[in-house]
Amino acid sequence: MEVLAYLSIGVLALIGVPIFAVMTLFAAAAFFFADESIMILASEVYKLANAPTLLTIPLFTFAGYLMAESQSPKRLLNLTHAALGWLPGGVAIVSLVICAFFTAFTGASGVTIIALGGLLYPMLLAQNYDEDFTLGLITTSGSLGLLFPPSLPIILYGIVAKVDIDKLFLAGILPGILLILVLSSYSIYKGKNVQTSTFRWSELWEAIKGARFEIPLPIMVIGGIYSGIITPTEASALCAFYVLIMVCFLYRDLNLFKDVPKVTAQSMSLVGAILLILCCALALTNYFVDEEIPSKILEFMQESVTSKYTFLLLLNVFLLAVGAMMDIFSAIIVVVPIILPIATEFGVDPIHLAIIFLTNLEIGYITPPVGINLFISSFRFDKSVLHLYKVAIPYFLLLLIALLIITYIPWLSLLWF
Amino acid sequence: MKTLDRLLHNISLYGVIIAVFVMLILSVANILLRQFELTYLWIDPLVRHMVFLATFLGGSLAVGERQHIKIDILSRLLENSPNIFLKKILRVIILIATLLAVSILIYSSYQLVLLEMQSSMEVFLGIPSSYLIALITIGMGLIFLRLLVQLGLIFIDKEEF
Repeated sequence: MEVLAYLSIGVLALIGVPIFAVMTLFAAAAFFFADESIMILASEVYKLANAPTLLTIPLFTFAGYLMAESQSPKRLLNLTHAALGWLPGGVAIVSLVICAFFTAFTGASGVTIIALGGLLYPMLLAQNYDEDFTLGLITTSGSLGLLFPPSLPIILYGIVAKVDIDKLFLAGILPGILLILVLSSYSIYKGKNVQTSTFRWSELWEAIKGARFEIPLPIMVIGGIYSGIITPTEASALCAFYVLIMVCFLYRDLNLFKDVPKVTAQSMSLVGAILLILCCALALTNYFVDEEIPSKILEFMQESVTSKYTFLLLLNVFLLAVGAMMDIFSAIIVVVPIILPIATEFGVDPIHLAIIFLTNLEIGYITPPVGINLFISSFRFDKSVLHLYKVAIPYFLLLLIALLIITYIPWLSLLWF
Repeated sequence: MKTLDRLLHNISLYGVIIAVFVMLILSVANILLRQFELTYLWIDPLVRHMVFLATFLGGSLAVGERQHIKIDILSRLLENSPNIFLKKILRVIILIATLLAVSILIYSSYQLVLLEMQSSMEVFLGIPSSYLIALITIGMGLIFLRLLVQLGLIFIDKEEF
């Protein structure tokens, strides 16, 4: 009976029942079979209201969506183009940098491809980059930057794993830069015959003036947190407030009464979907801990895996599969509480684990069959998903190389500590 | 049915806009007030409960937009299928399973509210904990109604698929 109930819930998950409902059903079944009161479910859900860094999720997401809806992508594109467009493969590198910046603020929710794809795609084609390269680049870039602050998955990981978010922000910087460098090298190689633009100080100055209100933003968020002046929660409030003033009153891109309510609804729809999973997962995590599921998996693994490095390799294979099947938010909420104690037993630093975890899931965005970026690009550029599978392969392989470097050189993530 | 869906959408929409702006203004005000060494202890829990409320209102909006996060291999495979009957059946199963999960949460939170009412203690601004836990019951109730309307629309609105 018990097995049948869990199997049925598993089938419901596979046919597309929302993850928050699947988790609720799973937790309810677990409490039912364990003869526990159903009230535990609600008391676990209510724990979310007491999570100290909870506010960062809606406010950073709100700020990111406001920027995506405004003319910010265009202004930042002008700026990076003026600064880097002269390099071999320059326009492709510009695309990578600008996408990474936007993904950091919008949380790799597909907004990057939608907001920037329309600008970058014709720009790259006009510079004579081939179409497959361009499609693959934009599809991959849609999740690039996920390791940079104030990315939503990093915040969520910090909340779930109870790791300091400011430490995670710092840990992700070098691995994030590595991913951009690897893809930039490929872009330079592919763009060696592409015409580059001439660097002009006057053009750069004009672009800086154009993006004068966006430029202080990363300094305010990152500088504010690491100088100890503000906490990540306060940074999210200041960032959202500043972006709101910037897009509505300084640039006047959006109307406070006409456009902002629409953007609020879009961003909070995503936030609601993520936080519902988070609060329903709290009950499930409670069950996992009570039943000592991580310890049981660890005991089983220790029979065949003894080395930390073999464990890391297996972890990468497992997480790539998870990334290809589940979205990043559910994966963090469901998988982290299970693997964290196991990884700690194998001597993996929790911060290093976070970076490995997020890099894997970043690659998951372009991993067939269900990497979400493949579908967003297919929809955005009207190409078949099978074609997207093909063009994403070189990027997938390059990111795998970067993943191995990040996994086996912990120094990249732990340099600051 | 569509009018009811619109009404529920508007309740969620205006509710979430108010919640976001209250949390934003209070959070910024808290930072500014701290510069003048003024501390109001109720701001932080109030803001966190605003996020909690926004979770359910955002969840209700996500129901309307069909944006809830799910493993969507099957729906993507069926996306271009001309078999409308199969799609309808699948959608009905998904909605009924989600309604069941939401009902469990409503019942569970209602029981907890009743329990808390017996020994209710004030959390902030004199608000008893039972009222705050009732946010789950109300929020999930709103999501339940939206799901129910979505289910009704499948049978009434032929343009759904």
